[in-house]
Amino acid sequence: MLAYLVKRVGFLAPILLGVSIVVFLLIQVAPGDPTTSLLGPTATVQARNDLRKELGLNQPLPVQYGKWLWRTLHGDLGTSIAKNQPVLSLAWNRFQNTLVLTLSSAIFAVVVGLGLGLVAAVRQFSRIDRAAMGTALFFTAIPGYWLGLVLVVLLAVKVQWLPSGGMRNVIENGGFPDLLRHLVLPSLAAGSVAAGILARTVRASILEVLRLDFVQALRAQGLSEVQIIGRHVFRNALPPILGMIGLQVGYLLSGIVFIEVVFSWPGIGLLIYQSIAERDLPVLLGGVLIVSLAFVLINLIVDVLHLVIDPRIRHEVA
Amino acid sequence: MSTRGFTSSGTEEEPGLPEDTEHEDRLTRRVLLTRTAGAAAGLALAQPAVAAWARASSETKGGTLVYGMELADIPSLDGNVALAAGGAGLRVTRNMFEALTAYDLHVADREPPIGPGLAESWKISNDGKTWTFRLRDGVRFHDGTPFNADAAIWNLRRLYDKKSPQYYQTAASLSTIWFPGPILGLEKVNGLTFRVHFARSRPIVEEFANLLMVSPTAVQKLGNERFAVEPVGTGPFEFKQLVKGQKVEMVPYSGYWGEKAKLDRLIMRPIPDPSARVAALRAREANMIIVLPPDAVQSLRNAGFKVLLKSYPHSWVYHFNMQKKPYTDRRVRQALNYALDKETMMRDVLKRTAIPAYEVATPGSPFFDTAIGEKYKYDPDKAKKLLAAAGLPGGFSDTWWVPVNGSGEMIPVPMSEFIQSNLREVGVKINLKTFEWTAYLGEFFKGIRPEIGAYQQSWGLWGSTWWGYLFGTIGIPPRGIANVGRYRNPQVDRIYDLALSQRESKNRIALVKKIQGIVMEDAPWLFVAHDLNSKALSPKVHGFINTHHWWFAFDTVTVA
Repeated sequence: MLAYLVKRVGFLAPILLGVSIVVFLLIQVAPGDPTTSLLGPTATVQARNDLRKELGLNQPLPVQYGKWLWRTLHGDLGTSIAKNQPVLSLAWNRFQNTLVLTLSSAIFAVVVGLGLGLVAAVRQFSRIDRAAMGTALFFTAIPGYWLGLVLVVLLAVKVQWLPSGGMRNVIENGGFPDLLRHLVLPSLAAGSVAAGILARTVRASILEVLRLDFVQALRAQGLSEVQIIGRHVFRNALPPILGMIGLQVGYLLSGIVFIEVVFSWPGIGLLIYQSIAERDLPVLLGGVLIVSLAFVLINLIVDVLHLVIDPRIRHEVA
Repeated sequence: MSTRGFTSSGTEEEPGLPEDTEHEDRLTRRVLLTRTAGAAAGLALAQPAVAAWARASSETKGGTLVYGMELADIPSLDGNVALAAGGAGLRVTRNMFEALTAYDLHVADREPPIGPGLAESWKISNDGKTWTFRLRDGVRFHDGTPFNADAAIWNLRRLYDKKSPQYYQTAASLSTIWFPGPILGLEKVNGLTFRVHFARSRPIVEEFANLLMVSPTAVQKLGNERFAVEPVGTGPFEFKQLVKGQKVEMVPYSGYWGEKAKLDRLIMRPIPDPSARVAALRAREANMIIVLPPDAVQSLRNAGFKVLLKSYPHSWVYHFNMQKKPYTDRRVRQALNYALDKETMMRDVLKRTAIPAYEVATPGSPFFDTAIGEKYKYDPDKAKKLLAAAGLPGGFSDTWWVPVNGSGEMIPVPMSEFIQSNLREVGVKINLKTFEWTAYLGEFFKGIRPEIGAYQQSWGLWGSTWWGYLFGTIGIPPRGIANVGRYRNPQVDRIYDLALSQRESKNRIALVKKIQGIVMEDAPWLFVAHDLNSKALSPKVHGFINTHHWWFAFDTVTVA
């Protein structure tokens, strides 16, 4: 297992290198450079050239990339062109905010997805099943940002129970409860699709296990349904569910940019989105790198969890 | 005030609503109901969002203004560097920083005039090349250090002297947008007086109103990187706190040389999505927002909010390709202008958040010329006749370029589609090609491509220098960038040079108006709209002065 872990971590470096090269090349292909967005339509050619030189944009591409890579390997992600701030602190600060939102959305998705899937499977073809699957279908069919807007109108504007956006009360920081209140709507909007997909996966996976012979055997032994499902069926149904959770959390992380825009959430998605508009290459590269790293790490954690819960995979790896 | 329907309802600042309007009452009841419902449902989290708000404003006298801005992030807080985020960025820093000369942002009935700022007075030499500034006595930066001739010279060197140790390329590049230089020399006369030597005559005082002065001591101590998050200026508000990506907070500067700001706290928060800004205002998490979605205007008014609309220097236009047939024929350009039904566009597409552009300058601007009248008012028959006279009775087809978003761009695609449908009625079939903003700008700067008929742009400009960049030979790429359609008229160039050499602003204005008259006749642009800089305020915000400008001040504002 240790060898497996070492091998997986070893894959990180080439993946991140590949991502950085692709992002670097993509931004070069797009017309316009940071000086156009920085200086606007009224700057002189001289001002633009001076700035280009200052930012090192007049150097050949391989040189620019090489310099960036060298600095990155030394823990320096460069300086934001538009904000003149170190990229590492800028992106890390924003990434933490995104992580808070992702985690909270993931908790919502897992709790709701597991709950709906479980009751639907246990009460297959009943009204409860239909209601649960109807809800799941609704969640998967409704785009998150649209749901976000509707929730804002209903819960923030109409009844004013919850804040309409932002991460903290800007007038008076109310500490952790304040953060929780700000998390409710964006988490709901971001996690709804994942919750719907998870519910369907959970239902299918549990039903599949329920049809297996060992369940009949357990029933014949006189175990209660709660014991059978809680102790035996769920555990056997878990591998595909876990895989789906890992995948969905990864999607949450990368797809949260819409939610961050709708809810003015100061996360890394918004930062990356803006850095594209500003052609702020250091921020874009740094931001994408951090998100890719997180994505790969989440998948690694899920794979390790697979090993922990499923002895068959453990055996295969060994 | 013009005679062009500018006084019609919807374009004037609405009078402040009384505190105890029906709406206010209704909201309060709703909040109370909400509180009860929330408690009954056992929702610990469902504290009304307004509770902290009410507490904060009851303890104070000037109140807290929360301004929801259109940016996605807090800009750099280093004076002019904030322009990297566009004009919206400068709206943040201009509360903390000042320049040698200043716009009088307390003037609401016309474009704010330029007057003394940090400089009390100035003298211009006969040849117009040397300026002597006399600075205001007793001005101190927020860090307590004095603003004097040394500080002013240090600042100008930071922007214009490549050999000085404080020279800062990013700030310099952004400042040359306002004032291209070069400065030949800076000379201290005494503690409060200094001279600036220019290479050529530049008697244009407005250019100095945009070079914001930073504290040399603070920049030297913190470095440019840290100064961008811990700014120190001389303005009516001083920096208090920055929460990255979430808010910047300012408080009135107690040592301010002029009238002190009335607010207790000024908080600016980025809310990039227009609907989210409206939601924040309605949910009372902001009490002022800017750039409203046109569809929200009426509903905000109905809900008791103050919606402010006022013209400012802004023109949304298409630049015709002056070297491509059939745009080489003036009659064709005029025909296209006649074919556009601007009134209907303002009513249906923009919901009156803009007014028709009947000339380059906007109402309130010194260059606005009532003599021009409603030039190119919708007249499809005249358009058809002009096209026929130009040998195009059946119209023509062409491709035009437009960005999908961008600074001051309003809603460019729906607007362009409206234009497209209008032009189709006179036989002109336009194929629109759309671009993302930065990609678009990259192409735009190079000048219009030979095969493309027109490029869209919106210009937010004021002062006389811009007229040369837009309509003069000096503005044609690659020498310039703004005159992308390559419009040339030697008469315009001559008048422009003459205008810039005028020391009396009255004479300069008269000459620029002359340029405008020629341009309107030549029609190098499709004149479309002037945005009205929409803002919405909570009925509790008082004393806000809505200017005919991009800039506005918060020093007179209170929130009760």
